[in-house]
Amino acid sequence: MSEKKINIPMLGTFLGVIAAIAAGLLSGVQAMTAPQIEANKKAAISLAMDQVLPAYDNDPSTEFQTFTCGRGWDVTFYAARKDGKIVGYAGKVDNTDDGFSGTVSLMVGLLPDGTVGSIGSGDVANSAVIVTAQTETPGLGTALTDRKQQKTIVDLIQGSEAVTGLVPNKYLDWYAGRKAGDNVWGIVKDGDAINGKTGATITSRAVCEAVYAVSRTAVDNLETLSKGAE
Amino acid sequence: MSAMKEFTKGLWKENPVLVLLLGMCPTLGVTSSATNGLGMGIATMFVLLGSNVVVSSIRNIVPKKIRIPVYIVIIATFVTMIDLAMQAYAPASLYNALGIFIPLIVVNCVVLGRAEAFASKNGVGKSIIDALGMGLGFTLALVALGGVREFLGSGSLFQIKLIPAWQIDFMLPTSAPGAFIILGLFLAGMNALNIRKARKEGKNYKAASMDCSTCNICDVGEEK
Repeated sequence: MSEKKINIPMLGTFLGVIAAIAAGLLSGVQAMTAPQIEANKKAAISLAMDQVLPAYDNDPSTEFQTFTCGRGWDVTFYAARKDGKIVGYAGKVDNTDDGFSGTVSLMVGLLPDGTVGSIGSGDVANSAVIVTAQTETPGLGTALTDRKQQKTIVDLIQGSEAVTGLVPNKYLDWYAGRKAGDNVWGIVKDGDAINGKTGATITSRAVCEAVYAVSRTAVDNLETLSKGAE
Repeated sequence: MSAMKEFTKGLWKENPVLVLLLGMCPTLGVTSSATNGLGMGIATMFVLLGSNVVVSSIRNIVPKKIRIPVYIVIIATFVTMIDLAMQAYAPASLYNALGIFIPLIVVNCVVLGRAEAFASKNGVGKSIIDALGMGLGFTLALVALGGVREFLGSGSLFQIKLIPAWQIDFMLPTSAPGAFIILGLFLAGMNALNIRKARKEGKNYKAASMDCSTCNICDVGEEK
C-alpha cells in the first residue's frame, strides 16, 4: 500500500466550505423561525396568565416588575388591571433549582394583597397555581404539577366535552386563598401542613417552596408593586 | 437488492433499534409515552432523510480522510433545523417533552451509521429508500416501546386512558430501569420469532451482522 500524501490545506478548505454552507443555511432557517418562536413564547405566557388571573382589560405582559426572592430566584410580577385598577398579579418564577431533575417553573395568580388567588367558587375552587415547565418524573413528580385532563376511552366514545378552565389538582389546590406569612410552608413529611405525594417528596417540596416564594416576594414588595404599576 | 427489500429491511430484518441496537439513548430516554416515541421517531426520520440525501450526493467529492467530520457537520445542520422548526411549529407539550433529546440526534448512531454504511456507498435514490425504511423502523420501534410503557404505567395510550378505572400510576415501566426491562423483552421476543421462522425453514438463525467485515466506520477492516 503506497502512502498517499495528505494535503492538509485542501482538506481544511473543504471542511471550511462545508461548514460555511451549513452556517449560511442555519442562519436562514433561524431568521425564518425566530419570530414564530418568539410569538409562541409570548402566547404561552399570556395563556398561562389568562388561566390564573381574574378578568382584566390591560396587557399585563407590558407591565411587569422583577424581584429577587430570599432563595435567590427571580420572580416577575405582571399587573392585571380592570378599568385602570389593579385586580391581581401573575407571579412567574422560572429559575428555581430544587426540583427532582432541574427547574420547576410556576405561574401563580395573586390577589392585590399577595394572597394566592382561587379560580371558580365553592367546592370546585382551584388555586390559581399552574406549573408552566418541569422535567419531573412522569407519573410521580408530574402528579403534583400537571393540570392535564385525562381523557378516557369512554370520553372518546361518548364525545364528552372537555373541561374548560383549570383542571383540579389536589396538590396544587391547597394554596388557594393562602398568603405567605413568616413561617415557610412545608409538607407533611417535614412536619408541616401540605400533603406531599409519596415517592415525590422532592417535587412536593420544590412546588411548595416556589409558590411560597412567589407569594412571599409579593407580600414583601407590595408597596413597590402597587406604586410601580401605577 | 430490490427497492422493496431495501425499504423493508429497516422495518424488521435490520431494524435499527431491535436488531442493530443503535440509538439506544433516545430509545430508552424518550419512550415514556407513545406520543413522545412518535415525535422522536419522526424527527429522527427527517434528519436521516436529509443527511442520507446530502451524504450520498456528495459521496464522490468528499475526501476520505475528513468524511466523518463532514458527515457530522451535515447531520448537525439538519438537527438544528429540525430543532428550530419544532420550536416554532410543533405543539409546545411535544417540544417540552423531547426538547433535550432533539440535539442528541446529532450523535444518534442510527444517523451516522446509515450515512457511513449506506449513503456513502449508494446513489441518492437508494439512500432515500434506505432512510425512509430505517426511519420508519426506528419510529415503529419507539412507538411500540413507548406504547407498552405508557400502557403498563398508567393504562393509557397516546394520552387516552383505555381503562378508566386505572387510578394508580405504576412507576416501573415509565422509569429508566423499566425501559431496559421492556426493551429486553422486545429483543427476546424478536429473536424467538426469528429463530422459530428459521427453524421451520431448516436453517440456523443469524442476526443481521454489524461486525467489522460489513462496516467501514473505523477503517480497521481491509480495503474492499
